[in-house]
Order: sequence, then C-alpha cells, then structure tokens
Amino acid sequence: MVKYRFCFVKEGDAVFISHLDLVRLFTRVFRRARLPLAYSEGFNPHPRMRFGLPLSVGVASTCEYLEADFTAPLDPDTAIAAMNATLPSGMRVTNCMEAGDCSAQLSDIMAADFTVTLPGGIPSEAQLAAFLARADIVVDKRTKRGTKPTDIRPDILAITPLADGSGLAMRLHAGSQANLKPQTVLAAMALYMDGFSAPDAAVCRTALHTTSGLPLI
Amino acid sequence: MELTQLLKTVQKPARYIGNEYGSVHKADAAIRFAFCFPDTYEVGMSHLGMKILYHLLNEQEDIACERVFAPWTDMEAAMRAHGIPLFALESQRPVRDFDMVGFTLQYEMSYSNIINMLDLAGIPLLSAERGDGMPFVCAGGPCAYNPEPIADFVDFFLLGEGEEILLEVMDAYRAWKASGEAREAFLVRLLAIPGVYVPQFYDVTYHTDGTISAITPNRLDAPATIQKRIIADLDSAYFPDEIIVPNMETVHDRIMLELFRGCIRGCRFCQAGIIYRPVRERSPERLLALADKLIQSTGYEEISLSSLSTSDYTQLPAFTDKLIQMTEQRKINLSLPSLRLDSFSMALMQKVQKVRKSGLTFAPEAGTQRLRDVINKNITKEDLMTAASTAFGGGYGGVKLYFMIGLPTETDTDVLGIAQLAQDVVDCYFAVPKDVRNKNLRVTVSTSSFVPKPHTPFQWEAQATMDALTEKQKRLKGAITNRRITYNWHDASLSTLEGVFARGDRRLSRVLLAAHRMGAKFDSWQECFDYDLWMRAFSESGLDPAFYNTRKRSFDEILPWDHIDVGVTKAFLQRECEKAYRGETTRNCREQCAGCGIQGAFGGGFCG
Repeated sequence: MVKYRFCFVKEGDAVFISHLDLVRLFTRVFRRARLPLAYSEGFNPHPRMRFGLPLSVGVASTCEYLEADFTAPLDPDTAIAAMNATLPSGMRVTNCMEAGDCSAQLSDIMAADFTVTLPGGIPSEAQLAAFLARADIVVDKRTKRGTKPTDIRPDILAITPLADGSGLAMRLHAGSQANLKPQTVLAAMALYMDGFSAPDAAVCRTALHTTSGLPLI
Repeated sequence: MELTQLLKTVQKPARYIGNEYGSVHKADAAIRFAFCFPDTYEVGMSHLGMKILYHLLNEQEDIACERVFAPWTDMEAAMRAHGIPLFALESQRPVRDFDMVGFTLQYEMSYSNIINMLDLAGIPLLSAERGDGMPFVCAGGPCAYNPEPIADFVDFFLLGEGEEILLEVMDAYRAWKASGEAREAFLVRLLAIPGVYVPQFYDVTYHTDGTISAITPNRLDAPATIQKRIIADLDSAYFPDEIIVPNMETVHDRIMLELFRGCIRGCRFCQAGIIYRPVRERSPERLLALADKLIQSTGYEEISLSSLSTSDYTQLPAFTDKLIQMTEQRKINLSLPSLRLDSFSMALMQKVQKVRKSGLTFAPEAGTQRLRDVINKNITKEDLMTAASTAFGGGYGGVKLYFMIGLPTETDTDVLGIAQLAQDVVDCYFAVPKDVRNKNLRVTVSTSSFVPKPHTPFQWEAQATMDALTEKQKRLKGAITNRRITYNWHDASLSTLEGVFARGDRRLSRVLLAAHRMGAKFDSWQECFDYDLWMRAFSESGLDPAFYNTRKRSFDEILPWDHIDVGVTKAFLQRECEKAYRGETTRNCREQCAGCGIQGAFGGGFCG
C-alpha cells in the first residue's frame, strides 16, 4: 500500500461541487483514470481518502489537498495526466507526491490565504486599519448548536489590499483548532464599516500554511 | 445579476451547472433540442430513458441535445426576480431559443411543473398560442399513453420507445426546416410517422353527462388510432457506452443495466406491466459488455439491475454468476431491486448483499389471498413466509412490506389482513433460533393508495374516495399493535388528485391553467403540494374531480385514451377485469398466453 498526496485546483463551475460530493467524485475519477485505488478490508470495502481542509460551496481554490491509498506505486506525471483527462471542467490536479516524502502533515494546517475580489470597491486604508485595530470583532457565528456571538479578531492574521486594488488578501486561521471563513470576515466588515457591503464578492483560497511552516507538497 | 453570483444564493447550486463528466457541449449545431425533465435535477438524472435519448441525439452531428430540469422554488424565485428565463444546463441558453422542447412524462403529478417550466421559459403555454419562431413542444414517456389532460399544451406526443421514433422526427424536422414551410406544415409532416400523436388534429365531443361521445381526426391524413412504437431487438438497440456522471448525489446514483423490457406477470393494477409489453430481453453477452464499458467510462461504484421483475430474466443464474465475478474483482456494489420471492432469488441476494443485512423489501400488495387473486399478484402467504424465514435465518433484521389499499372489491377483512400478515412475519422471526437471527427486528408496513390507470384491467374502476382511504388507513393503524411493526402510509389527497389526471380528458387543461395561476408546482413534493389550491382550481374551472376519479365507468364508455393503441386489446382488459371480479387468476405469459393482443400488434416471436 502506497499513500499519495495530490494538490488540485477547483474553480469555475466546479466551485459549486460540495465537499461531501468530492469523495464520491474522486473515487470515480481514480477508477476512470485506471489508478489502483486501495480499499479497506471487510464486508463493505471503501477507498481510503482524506482531504486537507473542507472548502465552502461557492469558493474557488488553487491549493486543495487530497491523500489516497493505492495498492501499487504511481508515476506522478502519468497519474496527473490520467486524472486531468477525466475530471469535470473547473478541476485540475497540479501536483502529486508520495505522502511519505511530504514534509508536513495535512493535520498540521493552521492558516489559509484568500484573495477576495470585490467588484463593488474595497474599504479605504483608514477604514481597514481601524477595523483591524479593534480590541474585538464580534459577529454572530454559526455553529452546530445555532448562532452565537463570537470574537473573530484573534483568527484574523492579516488583511491587505490586493496590489491592483481589485480586492483584499486575507490570511486567516484555518484547520481543526480555529477556522475562520472569509465570508464571515466580510460580514463583520459590513457590520463595522460604514457604507461597506460585498454582495458579489468572489473568494479564492490560494495557500495553506502549516504549524511548522513547511510546505504540504 | 450574473448567474454565478445568483448560484451562490441558492440551495444545492450543483443542480444548475451542467458541466458534469460525460455531458456533451456543442457550441454550434443546426438543431437544438431541450430535453426537459419536469422535476429536480436529482430526480431527473436518475432516469435511464433520459440518459439514453440524450446521447442518442447528441451522436447526431447536427443536433445538440441539452438538459433542463425544474429549478427548485428558491432558484425559480431568484430567476424570476432577476429576469432570468429557464435555461438549458449545457450552454445556459434560454430554452425559448431551442428548436424543440421535449418533456418526459413519468408521473401525472409533474404536470404543473411542465406548465410552470413553459412559463419560466417564456414559451406560450397553449399549443394554439405558439407562433412562428417558437420551439415545438413535444412529450413522451409512460403518461403519454393518456396524453389528454395536457393535450392543449403539447404540440405532439411520441408514443412508445423513443430510440427510433425520435430520430425519425428529427429527420422530418430537418426536411421541414429546409422547406421553409409554415409552422403547421411540420405537424402535418409528422402524421406520416407511426407513433406520433398531434392532438390538435383530433376533435373530442361530449355527451350531456360529460362522458365522451367521439374522438375524431379533423384531417383525412390523421390516423384514427395511434399505435405505440417498440424496439424489436434490444441487443441491437442504441445504448450509450458513456453516460453523464453527476457532480452531486442523485436519487439513483449508479449504473443501471436494463435486462429486459416488459413483464410476463400481468398484475391487474399495474400499468407498466401492460404498456411496456411485449417482453424483450437483452442477451447476457451484451449486458456484460455494457457493464464492462460503463464501469470504466463512468467510474461508478455501483450497478443496479433495472427491469420490472428481475427474477423473470430467463438467463439470470448464468448472467449473475459472471456479473458478480466482474463486480467483486472491480470492487463494484451490485444492487438487485424487484426480485421475486423464489429460492434462487433469495440465494442470490444472500450472495450479493453479504454486507449490510439491514433490510429486505417484499410487495405482497394485498392482505388476503382472495384480494391477491383479484389483482393477479400470484404470491401466496407461504411464499412470503418461506422468504421471510430464509431472510431471518440469513441474519436480516429488517423487512419492509408494501401494500395497496383501496383496491377493487376490497373489504375490511382485506385491510385487516395486512396487519395479520405483518404479525405472521414477526412470528416467523421468533421461530428462527436466537443465535442465528439478527438481534433487532423491524417490520415496516407501507401502504399506498390504489390509483386506477389507463390501459389496465382496472381502467373502468372507481377509485376509493379520500374519506374511504383515510378510514382504511385508520383501521389498519388501529389493528397494528405490535411495537416491532411500523406503519407508514401515503397521503390520500395526493393519490386522489393523481387519480383525476391519470384518467382525465382534455377539459382538465383548464384546471391545470387555473392551478398554475394559483402557484401549483412540485405537487409530488410534500412541502409544495396544496390540495386546497387544486380544489379551488377545479371549482373555478367548473369541473368535478369525482367525475374523473371515483366514478365507475361502464365497459362501453368511450375513454379519453381510446385512440391510443398500446398493442393490448380492450377486449383482453375487459376479460381480465371480469376474471378479477370472479377472483380468478391468469397465468404468466411464459406458462400460457393470455391473448392480450400484443402478438397481433407487433408480430410473433415476442413475449419472452
């Protein structure tokens, strides 16, 4: 059994494919691509797959991670080509590596970078500075038990305007310890900044960072 | 607002994106066909017929076939708010801009969605209102065998199996388009194709009591009766090697292998058992080759054998042996719906479903032997008990039992017999040694309400009234006391309305229009169905639902679908109905030909 890690892009129409549907989708992609996926033992064999970090429906990403077990070694370039020939449009595998050779674990993910395109305009530097200077930024955050007021300030690592002024770059806590979505930040900005709203924001996850600082692939 | 932004505001946006693996995108095609399923994406994408015809049309170089589903209520509201007309998934072009718009008619309760989809597309609802430049609206599928309730909305119907007739219609369309003739001339050209029904070329007249006095062609070239089309040889019939693999979970999310069409059984309530005659099988070789190709081309993890009664496939043992070899080796799950209660089927089930021993489903349909004889469901209590013992002995803990209530000649004894049969199944479980049987027993009894359907021996019967059905449900509920038995029942109001449209005539178009104006849609979805709305639509239209559903017809009444010929004679249906009253059964087609007429209609060599 050999474990491989894949990095893939999810953009265009594919942003509407939900995280739950991805497991089924990749099982089928591996079969179509004739890659020797390993199945669990037992009466109801199922493939062993793990994803780096769930992505909200509607959000694009250039850095999604997936690990799967195979019964035989893969040639990474052949595997990438075979998968890309059969993925739905908007999805593309960009990298493949034996998981044992990767320097960080998927469970080490602690932060994510996003670009948030704002066709309606971005806040001024002063507005942004005042927002980030607040002692707390309390928003109603949805949890499993309903919504409750939560201070999201500790989970905002950075927010800066994009170089071309088309939106914002955000670095937010991500992973199992603390996780903040850019949509929640936008909602908070609308709440705390006069005249700011972002109804047609387009969000793309561009990087994942690990506790050790080492790359995932 | 741009569609992409709009999709971020609705539930399950993957319903609307249409970029699935296997979908066909043609930027330029001379003819565009919008294949419409009048329900949600998840329901429509589970339908095998749509997959076959989609790829069949797309293999024609000059035809682009795209899919259209009914947008869920949230999406519809958003589309209307932003002025977005109904669009096809592949190109997102408005449905209005297509050459042809085809609806598949799988159940009567989707009719309001058809009207709503036409409205959302900006296509005039009534055929008579559609002028030059508007698409032709056609329809096919099982409900087309009584097309009359929606005859005013549809330009033409395709009767029977679509693999051949659809291409003939497209040939006629090419020729018409090249000719530059007026709109009506295309419909006239269609009269030359057997199996096409153009309702506007037929007049229906009525007696003062509301029954039909005549159905007459109003053109000399329109045939008096329209006979359905069948594919003579399934092995050579078109079947795609590749099918669309949805990006989201659908109701039947798997490869479906159709072993055969038709059914040898002749249950008297069953419309499918009549309209899909004669029985025609695919060869095991062809099926195995298809399975092999489809597993590779789709990547699906499950195959389901789909036919009306899988156990009746003549080569089932040899075929399943080879299929199981293939699926086990490739880690594919095999699911076997609609098996009969015979010993081979039970053994097969044990072999295939060695995994989850959660549930088995049996459909005795009626609670007493007398009533099972009336409906010609040739299952005895002993069959059921043997099967249940085998299942419990094999470790199954759950058994589901399906019944119908409101069947012709039904009495209290028959209804209470359902409770008794469920109790007998429970006793069966306790007769199995403790160390063998499953720790948990769960018997589920489900009843649906019988709806008399056209082209069946019960097509003349009165449907039980809503009050009577509700009363039967209550009695049965009271009679089931064992806490290991759960009783589920279907809402009688929906069946009552289904009963109206199943045997309705052209006048019902008024009701459909009124109900549409009042907002009727997704009637088969409990959260959307509004019975009172429909009753208001009936009273506004001056029509009485009871005339259609709970009225018993005489054998000599002209029925709204009498000009539609499914190949089975009315004389046979009447004979079967009379046998039902006498409690006489009819043997299956392989044991003895019952003379249904299908041989005469389509020539010999059929009937399995």
